[in-house]
Amino acid sequence: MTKHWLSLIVAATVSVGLNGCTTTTKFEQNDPTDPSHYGENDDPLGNEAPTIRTLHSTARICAARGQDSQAELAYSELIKRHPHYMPGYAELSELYLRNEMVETAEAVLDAGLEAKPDDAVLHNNLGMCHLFQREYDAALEQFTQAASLAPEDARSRANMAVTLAMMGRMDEAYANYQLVVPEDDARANMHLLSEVTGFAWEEPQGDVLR
Amino acid sequence: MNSKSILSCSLMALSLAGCWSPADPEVMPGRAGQWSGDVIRAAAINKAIVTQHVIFPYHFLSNTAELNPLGQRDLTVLADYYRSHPGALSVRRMGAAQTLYDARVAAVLDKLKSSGVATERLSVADSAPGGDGISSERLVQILREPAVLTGGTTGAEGGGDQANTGASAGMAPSTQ
Repeated sequence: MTKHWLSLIVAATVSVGLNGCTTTTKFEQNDPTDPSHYGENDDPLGNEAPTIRTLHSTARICAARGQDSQAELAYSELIKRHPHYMPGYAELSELYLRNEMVETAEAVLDAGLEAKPDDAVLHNNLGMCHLFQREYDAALEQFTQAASLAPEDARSRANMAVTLAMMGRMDEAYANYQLVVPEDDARANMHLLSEVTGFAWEEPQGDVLR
Repeated sequence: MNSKSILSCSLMALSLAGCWSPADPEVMPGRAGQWSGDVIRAAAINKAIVTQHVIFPYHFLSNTAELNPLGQRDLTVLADYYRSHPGALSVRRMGAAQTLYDARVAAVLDKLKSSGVATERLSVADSAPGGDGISSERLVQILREPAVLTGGTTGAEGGGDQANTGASAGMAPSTQ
């Protein structure tokens, strides 16, 4: 009877202890290049096939060296083998954008968003594709989506500001800059956008927002 | 204390101590910093949203009164604030038709109400961000008008002239 009681205590304490360990997972999930974050096994085929990290590193090195064709091959292989590993789609689309292949970049991003519709980076990059093509409504939709999915990421808000300025919606653009950059930078950006777009913008008088 | 209690306390302490090192940020340098950076950035943006306390047309699906995901998200931030600090909220009209603007104001108030905000203690107007309660359309109109020395404020000097505010085209009915 005493033995049974002791086993129950051990089981209960081990269970409590394991529950307390879940913080480790949170750190892991925060790494954007961690394959397990995307439900991918880094080594599904054993030692005979390149791992996600190997393929990703290869692609990045090629891209950094300007070997875009090799980088394209490596990224394509990465996406083919690991369709739920989102950094592959994001970086391949950036590679295509760099080469002004906007429609191909869009196709890559669409495929990625089919695999993971709530990926903020892919929405942001798709917004950039639309922005390059002067499709401002579509760009704003994508940046807005990205900003709602990753509210801590200032890039989507800043991209929203640029898009709104391109549409002549200067007050809304300024409001977005005010959320993510210091007031002086917000005003400097707005003057620059006003000059580029030709839409008038006057600095508000009185107290600044923060 | 009997031996069973001592044993159970020891086991509990042992199992919890085992969790210490894997969660230690020192083991994975950089990750903890990244996480806390995200939290700080999100907090800074949330603070700015509350300071602005403005809902813009970009918070809605194009030409509708339906809040988009960002609108829902920003309004949730505002609701968290207004639950304990009811005050003034601005919903910008920015050229929207009156019926569309009224529908947007109603959608915003519905969302706040469903989030537990006492909307009867909230005033809604079409005013500048973090501003003085006067619409920019009205401000432009005032600046174009010849100055009249009546002893009162023109409203263009940031005085928050309520009479002028109420007369602005984009003014929504206050819920007060």
